[in-house]
Amino acid sequence: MTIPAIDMLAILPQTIVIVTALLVLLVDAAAGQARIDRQVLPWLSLLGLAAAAAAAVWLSLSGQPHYFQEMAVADGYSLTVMLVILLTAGLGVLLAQATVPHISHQAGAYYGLLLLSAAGMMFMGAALDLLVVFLALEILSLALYVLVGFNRAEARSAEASLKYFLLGAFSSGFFLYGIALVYGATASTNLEAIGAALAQGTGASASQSLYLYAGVAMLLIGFGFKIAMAPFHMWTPDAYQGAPTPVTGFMSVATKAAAFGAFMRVFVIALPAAQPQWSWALAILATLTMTLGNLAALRQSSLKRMLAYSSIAHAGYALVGLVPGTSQGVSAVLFYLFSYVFMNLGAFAVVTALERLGENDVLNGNFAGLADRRPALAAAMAIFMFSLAGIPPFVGFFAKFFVFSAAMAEGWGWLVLVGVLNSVLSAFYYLSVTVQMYFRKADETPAVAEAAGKSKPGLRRAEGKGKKGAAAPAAAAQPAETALALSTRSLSVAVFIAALGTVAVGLWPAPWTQWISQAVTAVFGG
Amino acid sequence: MQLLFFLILAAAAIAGALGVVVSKKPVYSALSLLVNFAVAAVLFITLQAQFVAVVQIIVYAGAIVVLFLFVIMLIGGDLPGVAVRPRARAVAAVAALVAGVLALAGLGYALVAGSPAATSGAVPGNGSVQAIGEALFTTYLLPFELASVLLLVAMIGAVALARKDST
Amino acid sequence: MPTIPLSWFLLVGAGLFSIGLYGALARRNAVAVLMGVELLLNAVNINLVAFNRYITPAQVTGQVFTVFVLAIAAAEAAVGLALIIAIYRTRDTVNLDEIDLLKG
Repeated sequence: MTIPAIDMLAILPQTIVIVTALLVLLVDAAAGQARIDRQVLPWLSLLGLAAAAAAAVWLSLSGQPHYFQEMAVADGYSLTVMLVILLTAGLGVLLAQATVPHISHQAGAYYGLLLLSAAGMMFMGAALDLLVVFLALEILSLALYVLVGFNRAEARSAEASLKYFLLGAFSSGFFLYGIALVYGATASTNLEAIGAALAQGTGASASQSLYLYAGVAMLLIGFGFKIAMAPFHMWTPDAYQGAPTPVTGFMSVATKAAAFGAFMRVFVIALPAAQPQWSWALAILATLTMTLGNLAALRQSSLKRMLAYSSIAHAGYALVGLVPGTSQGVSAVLFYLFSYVFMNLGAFAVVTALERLGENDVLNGNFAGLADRRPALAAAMAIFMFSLAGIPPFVGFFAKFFVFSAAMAEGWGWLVLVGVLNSVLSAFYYLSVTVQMYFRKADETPAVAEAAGKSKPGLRRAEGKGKKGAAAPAAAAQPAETALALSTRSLSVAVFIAALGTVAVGLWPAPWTQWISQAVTAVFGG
Repeated sequence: MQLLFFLILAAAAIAGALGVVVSKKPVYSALSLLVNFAVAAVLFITLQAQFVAVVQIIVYAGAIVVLFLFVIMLIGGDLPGVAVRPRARAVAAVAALVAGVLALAGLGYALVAGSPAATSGAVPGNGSVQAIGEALFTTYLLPFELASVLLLVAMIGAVALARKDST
Repeated sequence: MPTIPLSWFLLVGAGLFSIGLYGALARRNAVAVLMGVELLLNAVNINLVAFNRYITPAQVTGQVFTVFVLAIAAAEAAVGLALIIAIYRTRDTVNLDEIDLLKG
């Protein structure tokens, strides 16, 4: 037995994040005796994320891809996915800083799990073997199940966590079955080996092609669950609404980036042989996803639930870019995910800022008259909403434009038409939030009063939570203007970064798209 | 002969699985789950995967099913709060568990030792601890390390969830 | 080659997968649903080991995969059961029909 040579540089960014997570946990454990303020934990996390991002940038500037045996790679594509995830995680930490002290005493576990799930996500983008994809998927999922249920004072948080867990575990069963069948058809779990075997016609015999197509369908279901693709999106509204808002923001963006990162590599590198079939399947699923997401979002009164359905719709738009299976499409999807970080996380940052102590949701009515009370926050929210609706010059417009033109280039005209119609549909609910903020007075809407009486006894709070349970009604009873207790400086920084990104990348998209398409072409070919 | 063995095992596996989903009482479900796992282990042995079979028994039967049983005992079966004599049920369950593990492990061993079933075409020693261990530490080094991260996540997560959140 | 055809093993795997599917979907008790999920993973293990034996007999890919699936199943069970206990503490039930605060 010979010990293989290992290029540790290939997993440098992930290693940095994992080591940071361990440091966070150690500092947290020692904090009690050593009298360290636990406020240091988020800063430590941010430092680690920044170091990992620096490593990723350094690796991608050096140009040469680094392989960890045949299991993972640090090439332009995976490093771009990693940078998107690191950016999301950084903003997620900033958001969490405002909320975590109010919902839990286990800050160490929170930041540790956040970092570990980010590490799992980074491995998703870097994986070259279905085994690594599966393990990374499980790492990120297990960490997220726990994070979703982190708000112990809120019964809905635990419920969301349980539902997310049961459906997630269920979907990993499908994903695993898919891997097994593809392995049966091609005798390998390595993506490039699978691609090569299929190119040589290995999957051609009747039984093999049966395994192959069944396997591809199962893989599709597994990925579909993770990116919240219809009809596998049932968990999304519940999980997003029940989770603590910073977690919702993080998972809605980062999970999508990670799952798409692996999704595109698996389907474009390993399974181009089955492309005519999966293209059609994806086109139909994308149509379904966009339409269902937007139609459901129109009817929501809870802002988090509305954003959950909106994120389903956005998964549909991004899928449009994957349908043609070209490298142009892959870069368009990557750019979409990159821009989605700013606009969606920004929206969730505003929701976090508007939450009252002890409350975990914001109704549409709470936005009424926000422009008078918090003009800066209202302006930022308007930017995010315009961008999500796809209105130029914000980044959301270009993201949609690139995705649609990639599909158009391969003749998917009808799909693009569906996407454009859906964007028009989505404008209704995004703009209605803006209208609420600017053209309604706070006391006009009954929703505020309804929200004030919202800490109803039906929501049973955890035992021993009497202190927080008492604080919530008190906070809710105050007038809306003074109840914005959660906003802190780090939250403002997060909102500012997100708004800046939404505007700046929208105004100067060229350098970013160039970087991404270079990275993608190097990996996926012209 | 081989065919007969296979059919019996297959029937047992299916029966176990059916038991899991149709049993009214979660304890019976858990015990059926044990049967299913143990039979699967015997199937693994017929497929020349001895190491996997042993690990299957140790991890699934020894860890997972026992974990399930603990939780079922803790929350008192299907009717929360009105569990009937939980201690008697626990004793019965643990006894059945131990007996089941022993019986099925013994049966599995007898199958391996007694019948040279389905060996033609197999590479000798392919399912052994050595072969798997070598693969784990060479080809599958990265997944192996990732599995450790996964277990760390599970540990932190379970502790964070189970801990009473008091100041 | 062994006398029992590969497809028989796959058939057993598929049968177990379907039963697990039924269990995960039909049961209302969260613990029972989790058991259904464990059945799913176990069914896939049978497939993996059978493919290993018949399709790549000289390698251990499928067997190694199975070992990892075992680790994942254990981790999932640990986290899932911890979650179920956390819910049970606050709600006194693990019946999914009664756990329904989140509704559109």
